[in-house]
Amino acid sequence: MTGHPLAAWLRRAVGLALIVGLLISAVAFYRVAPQLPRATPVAPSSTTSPTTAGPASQNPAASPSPTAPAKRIPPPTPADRKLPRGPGTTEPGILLIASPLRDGSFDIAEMVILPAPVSAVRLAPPKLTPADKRFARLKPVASDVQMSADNQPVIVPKGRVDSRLDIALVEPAKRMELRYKLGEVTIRSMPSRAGRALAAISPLAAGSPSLRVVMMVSGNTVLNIECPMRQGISGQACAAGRVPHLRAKGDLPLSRAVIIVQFNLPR
Amino acid sequence: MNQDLLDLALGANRVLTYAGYVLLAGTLTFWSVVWPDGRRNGRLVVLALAGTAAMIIGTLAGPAIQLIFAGRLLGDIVTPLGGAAQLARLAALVAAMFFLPDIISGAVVGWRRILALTVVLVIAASMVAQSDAIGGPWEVTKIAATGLHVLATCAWLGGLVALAAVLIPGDRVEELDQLIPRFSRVAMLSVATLVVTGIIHAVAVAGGLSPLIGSRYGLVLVIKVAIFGFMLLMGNHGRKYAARAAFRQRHLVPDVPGKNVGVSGLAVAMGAELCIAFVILSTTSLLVMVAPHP
Repeated sequence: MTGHPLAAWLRRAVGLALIVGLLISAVAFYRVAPQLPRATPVAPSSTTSPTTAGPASQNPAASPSPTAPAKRIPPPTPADRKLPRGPGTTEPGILLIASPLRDGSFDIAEMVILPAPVSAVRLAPPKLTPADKRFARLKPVASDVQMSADNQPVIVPKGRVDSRLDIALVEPAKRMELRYKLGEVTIRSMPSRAGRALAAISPLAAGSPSLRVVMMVSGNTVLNIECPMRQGISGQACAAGRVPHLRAKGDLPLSRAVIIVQFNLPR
Repeated sequence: MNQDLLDLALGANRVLTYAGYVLLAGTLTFWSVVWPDGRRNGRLVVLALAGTAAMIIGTLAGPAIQLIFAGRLLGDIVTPLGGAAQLARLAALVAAMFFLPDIISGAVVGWRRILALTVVLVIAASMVAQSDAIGGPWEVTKIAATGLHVLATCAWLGGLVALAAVLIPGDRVEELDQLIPRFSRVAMLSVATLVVTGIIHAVAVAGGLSPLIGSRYGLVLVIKVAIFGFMLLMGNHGRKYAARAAFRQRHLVPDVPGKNVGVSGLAVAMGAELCIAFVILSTTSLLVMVAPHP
């Protein structure tokens, strides 16, 4: 069975060389794998798509814990880092930058440039059900809303938007900025890792359905982004960039500007 | 390639990998634990080599299918631990391929047994590292349960295949008499391990009894358990049949000289059992696809 002694030794030597080579490769792979190119930053073991993170048994009522105080992690501002050129910064459109908070809500900065000056602005909480029925029981609410139009402060009643709200401006303006905390947009993935959650985010500013929207999510605990209202699986798997600065690939028309964010609740 | 076709290809590849594991690890365990002198049996050598080939193909084809046909990037396909585990598994498969002549150069005891069981352990560990046992709550429990489950699977299903390969010709009454009791002990221990670890793993992966009952994962699991139960019945029937056949052939004069009715009946029972085993492997592959993700 072992054949000629020389052949047997050669077989063993080749076998050993291959085994050692493969084991060294295994160690090397383990070290370099985090730097491998990837389309989405989510771990493959969680099957990449945020919609698969929690099966149908997810319990929306189990979302933000009322006992967990929100830890503010301010989203990047122009002072923090350079904003991308395009909709909301140099062209008509909206740039939305969101960062997750400990209680499952998001701190959001929304920069708006309209095609022409307007004398009234409509704000409305995101409609999440068309994007994903799992969010049907949630009633998104924006609180601590700060608004400015052409660098002039604008009063938002009670600093809260939980239903459609029209705000008259003192002077017509085409450039606006909103800063607010968006709550009731998160469901915890059940069953899943402790702290894993899904959130649906959409701009607060209403406008022409074709207005272009760029959406970015910042935070070390953000895992993946999906665009549920885009066509096809490849269109919906829209995450680009690297943690901690993920964004939805390209821009979205305002009528379809909803992203689902898979993330771990920050500790 | 569209998503359904891709899922089908990946599912088929998973079945190939599991089947390869059962053949290779099962045969090595069979040699080490049940029949150390069985190394001279050419059929068992063929089983081990076929298992090695199937596992190598399955291990390489999994990522290749996703890279080539789904256009995904390597970083999206394998985790650091999963990729390292696959390479370690390939190393173990190379060891099985290149050192098999040494393992079976004498009775599989002593260092040969250690080498054979080490290969089995490395392959089993690589499968655990790629499984849903990694990550999420109850990680240590899931890893222990999955590891024991995988080892018990190879001891039971692999042993069954090896036993069938040895006994189905029907003219090996001596071996039949010797192997069935030994294998029965291994099989009973393995089945008990499978039941206990299977329950623990399922509950841990689903996150509790209630989520398990209400999920697709739970439904497929119920189907798998039903098939498993049916297989146990078949196995029990086959074992009794084999014991009676061995007794008849040793101590009674056959009705028709030269006709081995008992052992061919055993062949039918074992054949059915192996078919069910294949269905169980396929169901397991399906379970992997519908398992809740951590």
